Amino acid sequence: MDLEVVRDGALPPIAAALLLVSLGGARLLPLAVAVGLFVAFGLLKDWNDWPTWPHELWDAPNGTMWLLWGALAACAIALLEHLRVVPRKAGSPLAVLVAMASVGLLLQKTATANRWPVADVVLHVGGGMFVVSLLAIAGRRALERAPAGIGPAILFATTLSGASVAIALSSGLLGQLCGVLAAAVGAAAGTALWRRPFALGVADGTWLGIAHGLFVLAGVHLSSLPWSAAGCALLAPCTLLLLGPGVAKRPVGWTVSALLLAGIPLAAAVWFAAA
Amino acid sequence: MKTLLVVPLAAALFAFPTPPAGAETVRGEHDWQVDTGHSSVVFRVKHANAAWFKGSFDVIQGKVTLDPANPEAGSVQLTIPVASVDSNDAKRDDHLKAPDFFNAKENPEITFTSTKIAKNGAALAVTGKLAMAGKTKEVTIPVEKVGEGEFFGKRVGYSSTFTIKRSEFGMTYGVDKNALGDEVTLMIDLELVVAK
Repeated sequence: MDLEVVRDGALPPIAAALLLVSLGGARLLPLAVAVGLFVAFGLLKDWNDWPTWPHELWDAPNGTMWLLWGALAACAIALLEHLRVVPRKAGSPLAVLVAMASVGLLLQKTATANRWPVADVVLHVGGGMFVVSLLAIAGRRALERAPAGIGPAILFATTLSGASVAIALSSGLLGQLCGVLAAAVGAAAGTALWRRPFALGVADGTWLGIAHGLFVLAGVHLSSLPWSAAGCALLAPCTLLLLGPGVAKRPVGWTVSALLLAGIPLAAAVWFAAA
Repeated sequence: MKTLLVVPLAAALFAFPTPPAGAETVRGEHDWQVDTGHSSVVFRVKHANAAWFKGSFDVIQGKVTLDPANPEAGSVQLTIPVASVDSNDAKRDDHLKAPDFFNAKENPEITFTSTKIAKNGAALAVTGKLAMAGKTKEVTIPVEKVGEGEFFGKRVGYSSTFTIKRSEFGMTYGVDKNALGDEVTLMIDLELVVAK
């Protein structure tokens, strides 16, 4: 692994997560992810090329740039929900709105450049909106039922790392940026060593689900990630829904079960991506 | 909650416009088209600051309007499908098509459209807009006539070698670590046939 890539991609989210979560608690994790992603993109891509603001993207759409803004928007609504500016009841509808808009903007240029027929638009854009919305809702639901403690954070850091490896096999940039999310979650969980116990909130399911889904879709539609690998990577976080409330009473058992359940599709995703 | 998940499918139906139809052109006696089978685009870039690596695009299409007596009035339009990139390794070709380089799914073609043609001694200096990976830059490229002949119709050949910086087109992957050089030399050889 190239040390400069590790420095540029991993250090910004780790530093942001350690600083912000240490100071403000787990509720600032979405802010740390947003800052880490923003800075890492600039370092990995090129500061001359970044930031390209959303109003500039209306005229010259770029899926990779929209991917970043979509992930940042997901972090923003999760942060607002953590800060109780957005009520819990509005969390799911807002997550679906951001998921739909992000997928639409992510695929806008690909669809027009390749002159997708209506059937492809329905399949890829509509299907993508549906899947990413589902992931956001599944993420929120899973965190609602998950035990307290760092178990869920370890699990989500693992699912994002697995997706990152699979995506990196077709695009280094997209894979590294997905890895930024995993690094932020992992570092935030690490603050439990010196701070009060760390736990992901329900609102974190919004950005985790949307960002995970967007990166995998970007791997398929902007790069050459095979559908088989993408399907497995998308399935991994959904396996958490298989864990009933009974398992959540034993945090260690929940974490081990969740890792085993998610690990199978993740391993398959990497295998398909490498094939 | 189920209603929320149905909305995306309906929204997608209205999200994207249909593509526009192509325009027709009128052909003249100085109108040529690229003979794709006898034209080539080869690129050369330094790998690991150690050695030259060469690859190619297997397809180049386009049309040229050029009156030898009045080249300034001419025009050049070339299109290279990024999908035709050939680096002698299928995995590497996929990587070249990814957002790290050409971002081919969003920008499936490299295009060059001339804006000015000037005489430069025996050669021509063709200025135009080079678009790839979603960025457009004005470049001036030297073009020399190679020859002309008859082979199933009249033919004429032109050659151009010029260097661009890929970072100017947003392709910065590996530049700062010198894994792959910033400067890319393009060697374009066109065989033109009378436009149909």
